[in-house]
Amino acid sequence: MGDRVNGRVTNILGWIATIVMWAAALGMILTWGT
Amino acid sequence: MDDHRVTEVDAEDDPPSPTIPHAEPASATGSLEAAVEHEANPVKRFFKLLGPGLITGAADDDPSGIGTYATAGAALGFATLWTAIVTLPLMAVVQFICAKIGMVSGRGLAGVLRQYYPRTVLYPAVLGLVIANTINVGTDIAAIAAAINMFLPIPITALVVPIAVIIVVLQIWGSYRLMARIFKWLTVTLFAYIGAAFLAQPDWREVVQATFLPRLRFDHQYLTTLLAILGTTISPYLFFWQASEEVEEEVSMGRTRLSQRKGATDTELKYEQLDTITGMIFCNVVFYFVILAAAATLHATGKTEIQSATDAAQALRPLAGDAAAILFALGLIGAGFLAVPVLSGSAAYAVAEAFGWKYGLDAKPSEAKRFYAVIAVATLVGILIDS
Repeated sequence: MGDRVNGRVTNILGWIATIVMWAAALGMILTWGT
Repeated sequence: MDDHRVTEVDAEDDPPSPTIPHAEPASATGSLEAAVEHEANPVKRFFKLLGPGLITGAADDDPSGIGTYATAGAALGFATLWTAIVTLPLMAVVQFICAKIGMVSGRGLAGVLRQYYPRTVLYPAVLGLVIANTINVGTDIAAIAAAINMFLPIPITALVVPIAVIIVVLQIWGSYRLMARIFKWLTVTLFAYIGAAFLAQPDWREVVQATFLPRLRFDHQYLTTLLAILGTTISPYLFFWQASEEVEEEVSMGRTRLSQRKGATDTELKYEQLDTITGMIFCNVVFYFVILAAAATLHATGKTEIQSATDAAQALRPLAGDAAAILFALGLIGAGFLAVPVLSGSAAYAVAEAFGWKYGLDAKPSEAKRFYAVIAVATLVGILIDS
């Protein structure tokens, strides 16, 4: 995929951010209106 | 080519590439590298390479964000301080990836989604962004009005429309860059929270412990506060804005066609990394000290609920005394005027890229009517929703 792919650290942190935000979004939906 | 704006032609002038573009952008255009290398003074050199990353970081501390952090500090004391440390690398990495996508592909995020992903991915992403940004615009304009109301006895409701009109007029007929240059200095007043936190003389052992060895809780109030902090800190409008601003920067260097913008040198990427990290550090330092100041002043004196901007301003009392309200108001006004155009602008970038319209904050209104219409409508609907 060329020479502009993300490094390992960037990918790990990027995926952690994605998982955290998905969890937060899920939490928001589950607690909506409470 | 006279038209220096990003156009529909740009969006379609290259066939989709199965790989990430090559390393070097087209030559014979201006470059940040050249500008930075010609600067002998290292401090000036550093400031020269700060651009979209710093503005994005400053815009992340919008009035809604400041309100969230102050509320967290007042309600839970030091308990959420650790979030400023934990979110920093996550935010820096995500923002850098967005910047890199803009620099390497020569397109904004919605432009990339349009080019490489099905419409079933593109449209919901853009729609979600527009809805969230519109609501946030309304909240931030109301916060600016509340801040002005702290030293001008004009009802908040009477201030909302003039503020919205001023921001839209400045965006459409003025220059966002000029606005950013002015209002980014007002956000420096947010650093007052650092002084206020120190003067409030918190128990530093407790502060360090809450920052690096937090005791996690799983009660409703703690979890909803965490959600609010995460939601206001890692926000999609910053992703879209960052990538589109990288494109705008390249267009302003003369890389008006997509083929000229594609690719980025190692040095450009290194500078961009520094820019985004600096922006996110600025954002999280303010974020950390707003929580700390609110915890050390409001929470420590039993005031655990913030009902108004005046309440939130009391966190600055150790530093500014009776001038706390004015200091807080100036910070909020600066943060708001910086963030609202970022919110409405990122919505407009996304919509314009999704539909292949002409766009660009440096474009004349007649050149990018639909782009500016989205900015105006998002601002108007935002204040209607909030009223």
